[in-house]
Amino acid sequence: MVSCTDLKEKVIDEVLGSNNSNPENAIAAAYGQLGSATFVDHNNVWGLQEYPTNEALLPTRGSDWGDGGIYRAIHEFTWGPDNSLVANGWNNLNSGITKSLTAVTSAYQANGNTNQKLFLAEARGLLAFYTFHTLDLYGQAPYRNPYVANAPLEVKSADTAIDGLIKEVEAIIPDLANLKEQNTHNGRFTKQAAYALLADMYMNRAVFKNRYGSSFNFTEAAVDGNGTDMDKVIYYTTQLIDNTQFFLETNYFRNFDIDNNGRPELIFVVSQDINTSRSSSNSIAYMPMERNQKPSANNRGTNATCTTPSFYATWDGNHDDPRFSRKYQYSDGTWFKNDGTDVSVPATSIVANSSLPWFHFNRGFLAGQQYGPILSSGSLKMTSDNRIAVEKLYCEKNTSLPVDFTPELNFDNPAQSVFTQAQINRGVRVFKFEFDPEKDNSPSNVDMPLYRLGGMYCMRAEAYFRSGQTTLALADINKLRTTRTREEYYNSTPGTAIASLTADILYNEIAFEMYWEQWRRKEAIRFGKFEEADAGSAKPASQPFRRVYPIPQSAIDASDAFTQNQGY
Amino acid sequence: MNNQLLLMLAVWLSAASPVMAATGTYSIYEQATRQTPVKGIVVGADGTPLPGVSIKSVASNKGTTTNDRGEFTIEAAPGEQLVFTFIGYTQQTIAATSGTMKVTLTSSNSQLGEVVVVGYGSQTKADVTGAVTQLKADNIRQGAPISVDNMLQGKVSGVRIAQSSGEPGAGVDVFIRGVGSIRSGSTPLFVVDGVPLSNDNVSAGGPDFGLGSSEPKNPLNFLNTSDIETMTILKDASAAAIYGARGSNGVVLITTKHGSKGAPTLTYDMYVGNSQVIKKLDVLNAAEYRKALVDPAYDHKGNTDWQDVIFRNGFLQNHNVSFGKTTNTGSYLASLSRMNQDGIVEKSSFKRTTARLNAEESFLDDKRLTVKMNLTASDINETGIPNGNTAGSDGQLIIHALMANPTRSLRDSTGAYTNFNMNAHYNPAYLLSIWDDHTNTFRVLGNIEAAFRILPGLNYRFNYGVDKSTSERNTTIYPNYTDRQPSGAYQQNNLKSLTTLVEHYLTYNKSFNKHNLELLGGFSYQKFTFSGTTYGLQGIAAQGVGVAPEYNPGYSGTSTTPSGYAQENELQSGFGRINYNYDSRYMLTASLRADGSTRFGNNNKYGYFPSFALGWTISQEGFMKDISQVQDLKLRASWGQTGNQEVTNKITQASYSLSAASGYYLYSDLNLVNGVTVNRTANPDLKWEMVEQLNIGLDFTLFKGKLYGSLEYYNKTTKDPILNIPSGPLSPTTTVWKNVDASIVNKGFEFSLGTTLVRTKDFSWTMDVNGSTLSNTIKDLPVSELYSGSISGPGLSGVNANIYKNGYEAGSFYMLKHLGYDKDGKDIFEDRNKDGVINSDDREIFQGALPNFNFGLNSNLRYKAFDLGFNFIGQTGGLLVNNTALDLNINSLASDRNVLRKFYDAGASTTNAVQLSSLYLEKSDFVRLANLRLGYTLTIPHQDWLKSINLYVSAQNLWTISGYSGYDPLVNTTKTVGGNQSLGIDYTTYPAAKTYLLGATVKF
Repeated sequence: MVSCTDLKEKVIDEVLGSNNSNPENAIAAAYGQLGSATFVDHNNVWGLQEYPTNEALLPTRGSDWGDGGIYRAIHEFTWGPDNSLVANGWNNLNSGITKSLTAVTSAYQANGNTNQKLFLAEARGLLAFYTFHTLDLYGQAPYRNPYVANAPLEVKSADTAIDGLIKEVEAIIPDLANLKEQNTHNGRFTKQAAYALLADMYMNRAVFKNRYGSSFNFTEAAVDGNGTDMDKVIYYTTQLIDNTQFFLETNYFRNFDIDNNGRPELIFVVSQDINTSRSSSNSIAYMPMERNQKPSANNRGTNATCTTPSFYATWDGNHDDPRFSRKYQYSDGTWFKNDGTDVSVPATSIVANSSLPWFHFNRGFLAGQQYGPILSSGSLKMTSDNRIAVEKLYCEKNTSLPVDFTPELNFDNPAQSVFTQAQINRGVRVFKFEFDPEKDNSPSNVDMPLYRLGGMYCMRAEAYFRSGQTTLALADINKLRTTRTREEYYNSTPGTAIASLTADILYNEIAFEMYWEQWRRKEAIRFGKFEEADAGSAKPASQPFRRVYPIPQSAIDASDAFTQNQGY
Repeated sequence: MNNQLLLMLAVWLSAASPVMAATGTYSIYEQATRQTPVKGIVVGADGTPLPGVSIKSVASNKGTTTNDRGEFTIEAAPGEQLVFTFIGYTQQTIAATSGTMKVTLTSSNSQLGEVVVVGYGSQTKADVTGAVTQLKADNIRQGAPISVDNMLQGKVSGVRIAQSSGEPGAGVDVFIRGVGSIRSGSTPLFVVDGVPLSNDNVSAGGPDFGLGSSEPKNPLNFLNTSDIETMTILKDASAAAIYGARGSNGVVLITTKHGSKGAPTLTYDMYVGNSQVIKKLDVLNAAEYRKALVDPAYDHKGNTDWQDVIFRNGFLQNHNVSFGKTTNTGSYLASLSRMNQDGIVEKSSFKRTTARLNAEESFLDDKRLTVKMNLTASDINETGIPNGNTAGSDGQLIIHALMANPTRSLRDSTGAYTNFNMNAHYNPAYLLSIWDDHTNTFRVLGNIEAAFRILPGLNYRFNYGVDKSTSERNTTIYPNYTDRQPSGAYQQNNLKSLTTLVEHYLTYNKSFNKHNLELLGGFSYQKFTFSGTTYGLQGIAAQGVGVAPEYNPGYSGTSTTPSGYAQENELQSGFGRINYNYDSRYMLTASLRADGSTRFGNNNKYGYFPSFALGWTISQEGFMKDISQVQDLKLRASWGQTGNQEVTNKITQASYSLSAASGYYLYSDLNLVNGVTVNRTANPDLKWEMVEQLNIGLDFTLFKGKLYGSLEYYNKTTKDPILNIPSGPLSPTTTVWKNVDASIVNKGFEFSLGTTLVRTKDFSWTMDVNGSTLSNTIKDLPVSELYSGSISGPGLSGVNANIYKNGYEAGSFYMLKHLGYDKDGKDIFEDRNKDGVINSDDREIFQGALPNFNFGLNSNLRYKAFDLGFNFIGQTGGLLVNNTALDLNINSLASDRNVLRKFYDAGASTTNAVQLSSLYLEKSDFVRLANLRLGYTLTIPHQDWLKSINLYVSAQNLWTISGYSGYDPLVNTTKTVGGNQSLGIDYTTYPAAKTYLLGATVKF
């Protein structure tokens, strides 16, 4: 019974596989990272782009959402290298870069694969997409030459890398597919996604080049010397605006519906699906909803994010804009008015793959007293005629406190976004994205728009404006305003045009279109608004160094490749 | 800390000395001349007859030994001094009397002739050079311990036992000389009858259905504590290095009982008892809650003590039958036991049946070949509650009970459990009612040892062992009206583990002149396999409708994706040891083990673990002869290296797999295409954590054995700790397992002192105390800090309480300092950086979770047939984060939940935000009467078939002095964050119990 072993570890419960996998699986992983929290969860890029602006904040609400102050820190401009949102965003974007590099290498080596050229171009496109966002948020991004084995690590810096990034994306365009060709869809990096990314990169090139400057030179000569940055923005956005595949939805909120897959305005999205094998996120819809706002008996919100009084005030006089809100109409014609006059709605709308009646909340900005269904013994309370009863809502934790979303925040300590239990309903909620009730509260079928036509109009308007072509800018803004129509309850009235444009008006107009879509931070920096104190909220006046986040401490510890950004 | 040590010593000495002075006078008897047969019986402290005791007359030098029944007859005159000696017992000199003498011998800790079990052998205590403590289980088995590790509590200096939960059979954290690893637990290596056990779980963990996942139970539950003969704790490197890469957390050697000499024995012992929660937390009652009411809507018009709703008096019973015998050539012992414990929380229970057979026989000429077999099997059935320690913001059963508003009623007007109609806060009784959790674990451990004498002094030994476990856990949450799995869910977790061991070794003993030499050389191979499967259902039938899923999972519901794992690892080792002594005065021990492990990277397959030790028995020197106060004095010093290889399997190998979880809807058909997942980054350089330890010890017996004990100093430094640290840029995984260039230093003093305060014929009183200091420091971490100790509760996601940072104790705490309340009851925190803003930059490091001083006091009194034993334990200098108090913070009053009275009484404002701060950081100092036992031994005259009956009552955890406001200051919730262990977090685990027992031991 003598035993002897060479001590080779036997792995019996997994196939170790190899790095040189099928390029199809490598590129799937690079895409998959977009939907692994990175661009779909509030705790990642979304939070980093929205919470430092006046569009969104996640205050402490009574016993909830203290969480060590990580969310407040982003809004109060006190974040540091140990903030977990800062680390989450970095780690996930870095994973995206790593997976894209692997996909590039894999496609590059996959001679004979029918999709080799396409996959290689897309992998390069995704690499540029992740790198651009990393440079935008952190000013630095890691890189390693994917065509050379064991290439050394390089660190790219935003000011010097942006031009190369633009050239890279321009270079791959011939190899990319047109949307819907070559078996693609809008969840893929097509030629159209590349145009949108190029427009985005040119829009922000001046900021990348002079991050801490007091002003930015938006009309610098473009990378290829052909016109200015703004000309390039106009050129690339026009490629999309003039593409007949894309057109603006009249029902603005259709872009953010559960079944928004393949909708005409969506150029590049993170495809999401409720699937037991891969995650998806309902976070952007779930976070603003009060706990006692229940789309079905098995769902709830979590009463977290809201908008600031200053942003809400920009909508004064624009509450009839079709993008501000939209009431829901049930199939029998019943409207949910949410004004105290509702008695019941039909129970005929059923949550997918269940038998649970589905209550549809209104979309857009929700302010004031809220109404909706309540629970009775674990089910939605019904009326005698078997409809969902609609009642005035009270807080779940404080059953005598009405769910009244007051626009004013009025923090006890103006410097701290902290609410006591009695104040937990303050702040207007943003129900832009549809809450998907299909399975618990977490997953969602909503495709997360990264680039959509509305955003292209916004960029083109801004580029015209910055090039002195205010009339053209105004036309694009009014196109957005007047194409959208209100719900039938308001006779499907289209939005109204505005007569003039200033920088401040344009700043607001872009947000009317793009609020809650990870767009605001970049916009605020370009418009010089980022440093301003937000009087109605807890955001103080800040220094320009906060235009980029710090490199997370864990990344600094793990390697000496990075130098901490200035000010941190 | 040293002051405390000295104080302890002084108090103890002053208590001990007068009694000693008074005991020197009892042996003056007139010596008579006429010699007649003197008859008597010799018994142990518990009244058991002791066969084989040698009795010698001082005057005549005549001698005899006791027979199977402990009886003796010797020719002696009344008054003649008789010396009673028996190995492991204190020698006694007693004057002969004319009637039947009854002599009670007490076992001795100071006996130099005592045989101490060491790795791969045994030594007499006199020859031991390492820091080794041996306990006789019968002397320390108190209360109703389920597992053997619990029995070490307070008995050995430098060994600290903390409960991870009070649930029957729950895991126990054993810390020997501090915390030597950041990454893994500090569990020592357990070796049962020569078979090293794997520290892997042998019972299946529970799934997380939104109330936290339940920990697997203590793997040592399979051992019946009544079967244990000795437990030997190897603390220093000299003793533990023979176990190489597994020795760094210390080693606990367990031997099981063998038949006793003489006539066959049959023993039945049993106890019945009752346990209840150690204390109730001081939350507001209904009347007080109404007074404190923040909102009239929070008065629900009822009156419920929710702790009473879920806690109960748990009935427990244990029965054990054993019989055995030792003959001239061999021995056997068989035992059977059954234990039932109802937990102190409704629905939780532990039932265990064990059987053991130990047999030994000798063959060939003059016992040339000895074959020995140890076999034990245990079957454990448990029921659990929804109380996982990983529960996040939404809590689990115990916290729901504590948080429940006392003005709510248990049941509504229809008789159903009241629906609180709240998210994330449910009626605890309802939660229990929809929960079913059954675990069955079966484990068999057996080994065969053979010893063959090749030449005189040269023996070949062989050891083959098998340890096999299977466990099945069925957990069901029925469809319910909470937002935890409202449509119900079921999961079955299965686990299998198998360890096989083969060892060959040679021993050689030689004595010449005054030189004594002992050599050991051997080879060991051990293979561990570990596998499990999980499958489950969602959307199951309502409770009581049809068939429960654990009996027929096909009856209702839809299947979830099954999963499984299967892993194996191997250890191949060579080891050797030299023990040399000259004249029992100068001793030298050197050992070396080479351990090869499949877990290590390709570039570091073998680790080498040397140790050296020297001993000097000063009392044997000529110059000590005249110092009559000193009977025995030995100085020891040792140095050595041990390892810790407790890392996850497979971590040195890169792994890429295709998985749906990282895939994407690549093509226009939107079907999911698998993505390449990189599970691990390869690290072919990965090796064991190395622990270097220096130990200096002094053993002494003074004042004719009245005072005996040991002092130790140790410095134990972990080098090359393995950490799961952030990987460099563009690594395929965000973290990587790596040996880092840091060190963790544990050092301290230990003492154990024993004394016989009184010893007369009718009355004896012994006492021993032990204590240890600990100073722990982290040095040279290559990262700024590592966080751990995740806090649970509403508004506390992602909040970590522990920090590992250079220059600080392992598991220090990092949080805001709470300075009190302002006039409005608002929290005041220290603004450390004086920037006028309180935020995370104002956090401060508080040291630390590890108590700096631990002690135990054990005492036994015997008066005639009565015996009284008590045992105190205590600790000072440690901190605990009271996560329970944090969840019961003042803010709870504003959210329809209950609050700890102390926050309300302090006038805290209900508008205070939920914030981890030093308000919830409490000292874990305590002194506890851990065990109290009163026994009576009945000897029934003229009943030859019945040897003795011992009846006793005992109480466990009867009395605790502590300022700690949670359930138990001796708790350590097992959690990790990114692979780094949490230390000193009390997260509302299943609370500890106070137990009362009535027991009997009957010997036939």
